[in-house]
Amino acid sequence: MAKFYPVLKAEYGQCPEGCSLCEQACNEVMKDNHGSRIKTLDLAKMDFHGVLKCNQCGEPACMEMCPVGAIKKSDVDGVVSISETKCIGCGLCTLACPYGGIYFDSAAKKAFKCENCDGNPRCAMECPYGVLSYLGSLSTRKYLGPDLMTLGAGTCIGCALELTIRFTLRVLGDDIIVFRSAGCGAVAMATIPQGAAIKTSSCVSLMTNVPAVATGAKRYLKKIGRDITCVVIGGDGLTADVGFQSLSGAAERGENLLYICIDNEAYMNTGIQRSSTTPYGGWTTTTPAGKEKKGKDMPLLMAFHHIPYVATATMAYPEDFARKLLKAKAVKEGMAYLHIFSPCVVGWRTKDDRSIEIARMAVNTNYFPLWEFEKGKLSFTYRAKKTRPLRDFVKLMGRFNNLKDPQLRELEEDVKTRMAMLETLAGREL
Amino acid sequence: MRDKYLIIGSGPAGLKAAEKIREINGAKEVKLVSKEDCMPYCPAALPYLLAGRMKEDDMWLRDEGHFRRKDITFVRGKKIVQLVPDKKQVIYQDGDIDEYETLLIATGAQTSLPPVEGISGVNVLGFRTIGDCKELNGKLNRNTHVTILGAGMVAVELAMALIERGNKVQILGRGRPLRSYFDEESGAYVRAVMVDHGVQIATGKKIKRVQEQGDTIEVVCADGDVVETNLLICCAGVEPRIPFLDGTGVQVNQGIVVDNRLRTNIQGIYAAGDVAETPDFFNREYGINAILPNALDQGGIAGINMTGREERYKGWIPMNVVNLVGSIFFSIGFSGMRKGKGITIKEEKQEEKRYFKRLVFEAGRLVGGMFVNTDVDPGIIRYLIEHRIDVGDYIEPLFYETRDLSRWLMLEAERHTLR
Repeated sequence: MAKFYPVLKAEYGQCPEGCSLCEQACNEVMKDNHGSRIKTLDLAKMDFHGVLKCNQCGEPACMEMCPVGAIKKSDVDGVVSISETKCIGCGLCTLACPYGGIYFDSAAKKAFKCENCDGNPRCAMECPYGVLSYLGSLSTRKYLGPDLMTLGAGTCIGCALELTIRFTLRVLGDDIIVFRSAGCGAVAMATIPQGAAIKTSSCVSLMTNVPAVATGAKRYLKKIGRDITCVVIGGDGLTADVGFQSLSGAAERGENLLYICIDNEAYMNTGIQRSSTTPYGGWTTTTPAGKEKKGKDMPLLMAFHHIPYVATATMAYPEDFARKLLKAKAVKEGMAYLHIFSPCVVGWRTKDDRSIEIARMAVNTNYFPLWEFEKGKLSFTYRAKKTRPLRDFVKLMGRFNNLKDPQLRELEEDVKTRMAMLETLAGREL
Repeated sequence: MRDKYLIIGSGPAGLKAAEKIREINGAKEVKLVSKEDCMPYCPAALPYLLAGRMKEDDMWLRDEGHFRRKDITFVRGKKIVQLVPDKKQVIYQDGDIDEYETLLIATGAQTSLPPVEGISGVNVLGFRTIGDCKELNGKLNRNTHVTILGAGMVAVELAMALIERGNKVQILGRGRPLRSYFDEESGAYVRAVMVDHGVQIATGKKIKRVQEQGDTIEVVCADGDVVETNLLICCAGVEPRIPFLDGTGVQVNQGIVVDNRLRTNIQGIYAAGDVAETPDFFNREYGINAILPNALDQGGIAGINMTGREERYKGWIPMNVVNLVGSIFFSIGFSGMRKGKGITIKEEKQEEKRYFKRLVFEAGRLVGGMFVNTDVDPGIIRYLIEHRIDVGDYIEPLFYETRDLSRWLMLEAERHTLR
């Protein structure tokens, strides 16, 4: 069985030109003259500036190839390491590794590689550009309970929604009732026999009245003295358009619900029509030249309902997401609202292996900042070390292909304005 | 029913296959049988053991506990003398009989003595197993003069190991050292490095006669040269180690002939590693390329197919990395010795630095390379060849900045932007 370990992540080709801070940091730590274990790749001609490093593979080819078993993968932290005393210096491991993660010092007759600095990689600490980061999956796993979805997936290939729902249920546990309605979420949560189904209790109602139905159930449960969290999972169409009156009403009345909006910025399930969260310039089938209006700022709207907890999250930052889910579940008076950013492969016209990367880029360009609003105060839960230009986010998707420079500037302006607004609000009593 | 797996030979291919089978399914029994009475090891490490760079204890790739945890039955020191495919049985030397449902033959290759007059009357050593290595080690003292017949990979590594121990070494070969990996020019560097460190090399030699003269052995060459030596080691010829296949009907040519799923002509019997004759990567021509990377590939693929899943073997690519006293020699694929239509060869060299670089392209793909003291990542070059990455637009830059460009091409290919 594959296990999960912390990883040293490098953003693909995002280094500034000519930077070698990670190599310097590595040389400083290693002090053994073998050279750096992370290699910068500075190719001006190809317009590529990135790094090359060991992936600490799950089934390391170098380990398999080593004729004396000098290479081992640790069960504890997943690091693939070379025993210096055992290494005979044959160099075969360099022939095994397809990723250029293992190097050979022919004079010293030793192979060497990155061993993650005992869980504290210096290169990641020294990288001021946010290219290198050390992602501790172990810390995320402590939030995870048993999987509450059956095997399979009813969603399109590469969709972040399936992962989001699976993760949400694993964190929340099974003492919940899920209220839902039409949308991609409905497909993800129950498409027996082709796809998966959730194993918790759930109730399906109309798009216009999900929070109202949940209200009734929650009040009844409270009356008979059972502490069961009523969770509404809906899309952006249900939340921001069709069911907004019901949500707004329930929030204002102070109903004790956990509302999770999974926002893919259009009506994806019915064929990619614009919703009120579709961003300015975004292509949909009903806005073929790009949307002319700005998107609705749903999470801020909910914050101004003065409910006890509002937060934004994405699967690209699972630890942050899990913490927010638990905080929201702990709210026993009034509504908790989570707004989840979830890339859509088909509707956003992206490659099917990019969902998480796009979500991370959305956060790092301030397109979708991560914040929470708790006890009347707004605070950021994650700030990128260096904000990336919005262009880096936009170019990952086909839906912004129609965006000309002036429109891109307009979208940038919109993002900036929202960010400025959040910064003004941060730390103040609302 | 594929519930009982028997694997003969615990070299890299057999070991990999056994572990792959266990990884995939919960068969009743996976049995790994070794004729040698020791834990599994990799023969590629033997020269280093002889050179004294490692202890014997460090040879063993797995321990008893590992097999217990993986639920693999490991039987050592049991030699199989006959295979009976009709009954799906194997017969051991001690008379025991074992049954199987699926069988893998991964017994490797053994030394075959060339047909030379008097060779059967002389003690000629081989160098393929740990037993050979120990026997040789026991006979060596500081002044022993050793003659090695052959100039292939094993011969070269053995010669360098003996030099490291301080012995005098003479190589007698038909061709120049490592001629199947390096051409005349780059091969000259191999020879030069070896000669620098005291190996005596005589090539183009045909042996006429060997005879024992008291403590020494006389090797008489066809051209009249006589070499007097204390020990004679044969690394010239190898043959598949398959004495138990007589009368079984398993098709054997140079090795056991298998298809691209590593199946022999008899159902339920597979072969992998140095014993198997498989199609190659480029032309699907049958042959044996007895090197560790191919043995591992074949072992893994045979294991998968034995469980009933389908996985096709891409075919072998000749490749090798040797570190000879600080000089790195790396050769892979069509390194330009075989000419063909539509093949582009680009090379550069600096004789005084013993530097050589050659890249071979065919139809926009990299198909081979030869590198001496060149700073490249062998694994990445292998990746570009094995995945048939389209590098047609980058031939010039790839040649001039091989290391960086190949790294970049690999990264781009991994991102699916080049395929």
